[in-house]
Amino acid sequence: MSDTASTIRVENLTFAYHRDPALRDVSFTLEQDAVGLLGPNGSGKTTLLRALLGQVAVQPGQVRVGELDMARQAPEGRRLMGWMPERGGIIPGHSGVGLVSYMGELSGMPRQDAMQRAHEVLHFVGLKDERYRPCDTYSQGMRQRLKLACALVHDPQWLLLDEPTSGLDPGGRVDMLELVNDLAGRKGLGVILSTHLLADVEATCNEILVLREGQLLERQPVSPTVVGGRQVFEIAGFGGEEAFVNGLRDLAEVVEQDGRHITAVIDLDSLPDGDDVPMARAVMALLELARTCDYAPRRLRRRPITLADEFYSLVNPEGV
Amino acid sequence: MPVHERGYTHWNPSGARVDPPWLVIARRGLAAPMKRRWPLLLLFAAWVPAIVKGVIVFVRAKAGELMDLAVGGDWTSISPAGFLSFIEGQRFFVFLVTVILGAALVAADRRENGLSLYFSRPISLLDYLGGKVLVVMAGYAAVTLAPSLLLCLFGYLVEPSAASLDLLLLTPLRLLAMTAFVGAGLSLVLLALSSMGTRTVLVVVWWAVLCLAGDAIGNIGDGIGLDSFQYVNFMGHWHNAVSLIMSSEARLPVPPAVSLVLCLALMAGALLVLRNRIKPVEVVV
Amino acid sequence: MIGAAPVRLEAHEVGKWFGEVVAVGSCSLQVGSGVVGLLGQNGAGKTTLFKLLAGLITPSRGEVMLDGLPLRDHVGLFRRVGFCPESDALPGWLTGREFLRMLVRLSGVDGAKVTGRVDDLLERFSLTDAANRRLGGYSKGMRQKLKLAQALAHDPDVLFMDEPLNGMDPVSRHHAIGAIRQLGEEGRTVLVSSHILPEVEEMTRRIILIHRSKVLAEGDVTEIRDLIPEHPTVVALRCTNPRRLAALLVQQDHVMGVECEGDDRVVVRTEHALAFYRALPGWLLDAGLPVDEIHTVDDDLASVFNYLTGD
Repeated sequence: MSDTASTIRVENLTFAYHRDPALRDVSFTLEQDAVGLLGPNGSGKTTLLRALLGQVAVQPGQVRVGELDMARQAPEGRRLMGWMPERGGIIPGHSGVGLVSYMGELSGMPRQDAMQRAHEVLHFVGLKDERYRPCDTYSQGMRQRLKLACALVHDPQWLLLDEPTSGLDPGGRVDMLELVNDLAGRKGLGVILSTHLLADVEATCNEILVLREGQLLERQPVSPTVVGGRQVFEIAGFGGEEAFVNGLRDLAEVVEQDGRHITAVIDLDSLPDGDDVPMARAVMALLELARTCDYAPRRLRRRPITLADEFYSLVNPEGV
Repeated sequence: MPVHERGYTHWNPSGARVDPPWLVIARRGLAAPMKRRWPLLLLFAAWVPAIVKGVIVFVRAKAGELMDLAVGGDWTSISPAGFLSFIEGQRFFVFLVTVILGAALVAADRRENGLSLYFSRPISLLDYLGGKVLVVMAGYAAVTLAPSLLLCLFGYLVEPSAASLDLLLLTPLRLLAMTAFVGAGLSLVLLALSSMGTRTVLVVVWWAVLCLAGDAIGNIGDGIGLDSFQYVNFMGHWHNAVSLIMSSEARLPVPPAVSLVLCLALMAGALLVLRNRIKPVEVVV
Repeated sequence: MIGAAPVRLEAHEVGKWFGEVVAVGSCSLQVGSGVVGLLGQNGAGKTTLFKLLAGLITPSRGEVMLDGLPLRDHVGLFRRVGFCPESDALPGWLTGREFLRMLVRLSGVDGAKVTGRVDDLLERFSLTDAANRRLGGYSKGMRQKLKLAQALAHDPDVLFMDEPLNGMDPVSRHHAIGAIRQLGEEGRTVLVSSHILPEVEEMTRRIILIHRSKVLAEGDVTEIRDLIPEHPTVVALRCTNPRRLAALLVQQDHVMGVECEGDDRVVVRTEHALAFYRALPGWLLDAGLPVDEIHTVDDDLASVFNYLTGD
């Protein structure tokens, strides 16, 4: 497997702060991809991001971005990375466009290029006239957009985002996640999203890396396909609820009801054979039951939060 | 393509010249205060003593021996010692200019985790410090070196002679060396102060104490006959340390060599503080 | 009224302004027991309303009442209120255990029971291991858990939580959501202010939405959704043969519009949601068209929020 110019290759990465091991023998390779970085506080996430930026000298181990060794060629490597920190991340006293162009120049862009590109990325992130105001007057939503703009101005190949939706209201969250999706999906940037919000990871990432106590626990895709086994169904609707729930107890292993919301665990493998895939057969059986009981389902689906389930089983709760 | 991409586009480098990071940082540090009016007014005000000195030099040259002793003494002389005296006299402007340019230089960067932005870029600690030091040194030079050099030229033109050829070569070189040393030293100490917190006000207060209070205490010591008070005279030490370069007598009742050692120690201390405070990224647990 | 009887917290035409700026216009609410989410965009007045209800600031007009008594006038009422703030000011030199002990004793708990209560709280929030470490050394997530614990120190009936999961890692969030749900089931009134809608949805179905300084909606999310007339219901059906399903549906009554999305989804718009839901199983079974899932796209919290605050 050959590395392209933007492959991130981490090998046997080990790092300790004063004998306190922050990272232990972490290895992985990333092609252009949207990856979620998850883990409890103190698991080494921040250290890993610093290592990717070439800010910590790692021994032993190696971090390579394309052909560049971040330990020795950090400046060139940093040109390929865009960093959006969680806390702060602005410099008071500059206007929005002033700050973004400043960062562009520091990343090795000629002055005019930096200014022009600053305006372009500010349009992309949705900052309009406020770009001329001092950035310390910005609201949280504007700040996060500004930080994203600073990370994009030099046209990096990788975006390292640390809690990008921090402090944003629901509308702001949606906008930010859309921007990230656009960049990762259509514009060819690699994204590493470090966050505690699984919902954000589900919305944007294809894979997750899970760290715990400095070690890489697991790496896997975000939505594994369902073939069989026990599945949890969420059902909600109107009408003959009681009859429906009673009938459900014959079909499902476990039935729970919370107001109008019904949760049922059905073992797909226990359904009678048929032509269709097990999921479809299960749903049709439920629909048949609904028709019989005069129940009108408005929701009938497999519970979608599987990422959380898998994550919790990985990271042993007792140890947190 | 008839309709161009309206969303995020990639950068097409224009191939124009790229400035090194320290220059970018220096330029930005100087640009901000220059946009407002009163720093420029201050700059003009700082040149007034130079203009006064120029006038006196001119008048004395033309009036001959009559005015030789009367006015100003050392301060108005165009010997190296005279320039040192002149620059010493600029200390209040030096304080103002350096504090305006330099007090917030690192403090503002630290206030909102701005340092992590800098060091996710391809710059080194040397670039960062170099650029910032250059900002303060530029301000320092503008109120000390620049007027002095012009006075050198003026002094030569007023009375061109073989003796005053010094004014065109040797004296400027001494001035350059002197202001480089003092400028760098003051910049480093000021930046170290700026890096110790995030609030500019505290930096201003401490810098005022160092620059102005030290001098005042020294004078009090002179008044009551206690020479040892002069050891607190921060600004005085710098001028004392370079008094040898400027062929001047000691500016304090302290041996210049002692002042020199003190100043070098201050610079080293400032560098240590800066290296410690400007860690590339804050560690978040 | 939001929540189950009895009414605990009441606001009578409460308003708050700062000079010319109206943070909260006239607002009347009745909140019973259970978990209630307080939602709103930044700048809509959410934080101010939250502080008014918690008794932290005085209303410019109207009053807030707890169990029938005005909150600001009766300081003793605060013993029944627990507060988990967003800000982080904890005394760094105390250990977790010392801090909780202090608060529990301050709230008047009997000397002998203090240790037991403190141990309970620590265990409830998985802080037992870190109990003897100084607060200054706690991570952000641990500090957050401690803030939740201290809100419960005096066993209050009413709890106010501002972004209670801030800084917690996913596992802790999951536990905290469970803990909050349980507090609601125990019969307490828990008012949670948050921007993270997927998590609020996991805690409760009941919300108060504040928009442009006024309470725009209150109650069960689904009921609120049904009351928004301008937006026809959007239902997504996942299946293996979307074109066939689309062809079937477009012929039916109650269907306004049908779209094929990708190669596995059909999205239907309907104005008569109930009739549609009733008839759908019949259509699908009669035509023998299997589907993988039926999902009303926009009755989740995020969509409702969007509809109400967007235009």
